[in-house]
Amino acid sequence: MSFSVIRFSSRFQKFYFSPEASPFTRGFAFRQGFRLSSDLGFVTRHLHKTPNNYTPNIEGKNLMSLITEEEIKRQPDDRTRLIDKNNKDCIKAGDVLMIETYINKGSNAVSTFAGVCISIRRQGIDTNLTLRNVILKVGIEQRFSIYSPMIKSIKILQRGEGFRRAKLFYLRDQPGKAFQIGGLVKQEIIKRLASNSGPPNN
Amino acid sequence: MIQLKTILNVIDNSGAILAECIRVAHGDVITVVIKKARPISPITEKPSSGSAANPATKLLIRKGEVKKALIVRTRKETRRPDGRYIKFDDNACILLNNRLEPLATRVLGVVGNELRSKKWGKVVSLAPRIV
Repeated sequence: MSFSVIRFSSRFQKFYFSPEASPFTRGFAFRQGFRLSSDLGFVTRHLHKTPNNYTPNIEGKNLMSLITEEEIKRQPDDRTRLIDKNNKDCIKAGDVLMIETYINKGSNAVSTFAGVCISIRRQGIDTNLTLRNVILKVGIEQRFSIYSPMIKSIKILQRGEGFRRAKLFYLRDQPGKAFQIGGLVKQEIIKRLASNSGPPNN
Repeated sequence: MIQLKTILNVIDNSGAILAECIRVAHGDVITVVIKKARPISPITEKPSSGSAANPATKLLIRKGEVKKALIVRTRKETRRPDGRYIKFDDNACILLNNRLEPLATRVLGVVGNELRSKKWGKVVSLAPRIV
């Protein structure tokens, strides 16, 4: 059982075994993802089939920007549109948002948080939104990374009006003014229950 | 970021209103001194409309008492395991006895969900809202 692995490019690997190689060796090669190619004795495999060995083609690209691009492409829905400034329907500071997040990775249980979006930080894969709300007379702020796989959905409940700033941190000093959104949230929950396809809210 | 001299709101029905941190212990427990408490007047104590059986009314927390307390909200943002950050507008605590059980019978405000994972289940179950 003599074989050797030869790497000759970033994309392909060749696997050589002698013509009298046992079925065991051939089976081993097959399980590793190698398939027979035209030249006898050599089999090739495409490395992108095995993500562990994946070598990206980074010609002329910064590695980090490439990783960011690829990670952003993994988003379950089109979240990039929500923060794209060129898009007319993008989220703006002052909008009332409702974000649903999974509680556990395994289960489908969802928790929701609604609040006024007071800041959007555009940082590629780390883009995040800060929501602020007042619950039981206490101001609460939560910062969500929008590309997080734990986020199920981001919904705009109401458009903000009369806000002329990109960051609305001054709302922290104005209790009660912009945070009467309990009615909106209730409406949304009722709407969801009515459509009957809604997930359990808690 | 609770440290020496930090003033916290007390959000239980023990009668205390403001407390000042005088010692930070390990975890979420601190030692506080009561800075402001609800006045204990004999008039309100006598009728006390149905809450005579309430042990909290017998507590009689006075200004200047030293108690253990559990931090339930902080201004400093905390990171959750799912990557989100959460911060509150105030620092708040509830009072504990020496066995680290809640002194009072009710919790009157929002508490952080972190308590749940830290074996403060009783406090969480008393709270009207967990965020």
